[in-house]
Amino acid sequence: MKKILLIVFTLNGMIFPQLNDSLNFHSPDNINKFADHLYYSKDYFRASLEYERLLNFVPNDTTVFKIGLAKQNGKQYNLALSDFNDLINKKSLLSESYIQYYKTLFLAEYDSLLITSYSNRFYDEVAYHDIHKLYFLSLIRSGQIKGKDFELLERFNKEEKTVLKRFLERKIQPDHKSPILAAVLSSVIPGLGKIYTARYEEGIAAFLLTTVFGYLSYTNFEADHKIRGWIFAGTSFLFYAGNIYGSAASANIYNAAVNLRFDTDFNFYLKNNDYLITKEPVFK
Amino acid sequence: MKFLLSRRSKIHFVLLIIFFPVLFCNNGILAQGNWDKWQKTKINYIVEVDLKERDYSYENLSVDGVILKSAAILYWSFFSDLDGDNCPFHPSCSNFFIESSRQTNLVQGTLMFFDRFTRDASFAGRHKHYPLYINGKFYDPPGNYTLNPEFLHYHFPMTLIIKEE
Repeated sequence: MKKILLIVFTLNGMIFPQLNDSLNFHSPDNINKFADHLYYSKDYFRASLEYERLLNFVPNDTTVFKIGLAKQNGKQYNLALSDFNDLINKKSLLSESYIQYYKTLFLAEYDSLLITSYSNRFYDEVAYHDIHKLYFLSLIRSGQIKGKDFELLERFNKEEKTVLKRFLERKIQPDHKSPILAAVLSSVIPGLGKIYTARYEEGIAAFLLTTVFGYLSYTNFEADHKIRGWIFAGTSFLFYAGNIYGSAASANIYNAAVNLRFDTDFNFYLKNNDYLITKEPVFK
Repeated sequence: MKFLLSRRSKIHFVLLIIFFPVLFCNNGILAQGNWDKWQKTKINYIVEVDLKERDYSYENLSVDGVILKSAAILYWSFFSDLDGDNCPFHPSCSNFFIESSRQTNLVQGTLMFFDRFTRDASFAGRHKHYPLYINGKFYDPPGNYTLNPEFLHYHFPMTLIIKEE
């Protein structure tokens, strides 16, 4: 009995290997399931590889579409654009492919390309609706929005409209500081330009350095120490001139911070709301 | 053998001969290689000093270059050598001066340097304005101060910068 049990336990794996078809991991159906699993686990790179492997067994436009989606999510935007473009040329999955093509352009921040390639030749009303939205969002982000484009705001629902109006205000009238004004302010009172650009500590430091060296120069000239007087005067002047220059540079940095904050907030809002697209691809 | 072992013992012996290589030699044959990866690493405790190599020579320099090099040598001798590696910014003030003069010109580079000196002398609030470089210093590249938007790369304060741009 012991011998039988020993043989059964040891040779079990050899006698009963995995012969069941459902456990054939390389069957097209299982490759598809595995690729879908990878996609939903956000392992987009490997998902796209599995879909490409599936394409060798079963050429299928849905699989090409899935490859495009996996590449889009994996930030391989140029490859994704090529996949969606192929589908558009084949007129397969047309409205979905158009939406994803424009979404990829938006994600890749190819705003000028999106705006120039935007047209009204879409068959599906939902696709038409979504592409209008992406076009409008691209106009906001790139700052190319004009009077007649504001009509497109009507395509968004009430809540989206409120948020987008706020973003539009921030884009059209950003809280920028003028570099020229900052330089002028610093030339009137050293450090004032820095304070104008919200660099309070640096403004105070600039004021102290300029005035202290100026005072040292004055007292040295008064005591007839001309060489020291000129050295301190020169140093004070360089701090004064450097501060005027630095205030203009500081205003530029302030403006860059405002722009970056806008871009970050805008992208964060869109990402959390699926880029305001109504027709999202769902596949099982 | 024939006389020493019973039948049951013979079976055990044969089984042992079959399974021994499988059970025990397996690890030996398929042992993990790449020992360099897994063995104890040698830790270097020497702190990397973030100073660019100093070149004191005046060979093949233009008039601007001679003035810039003289100013840099004076700064190295009277400030850097005495102060040590205590500049709160990356790149350090002397490197900032050299880089800014290279990127723009001597006059603009001097103005940028004095502005940097003001920021260096500012006593508080640096964490509200500057990102952090990997060496623990505040990252303040000269490109942000050239007044040319192409060179301006803004990062949010206290963001960790791994590599210089």
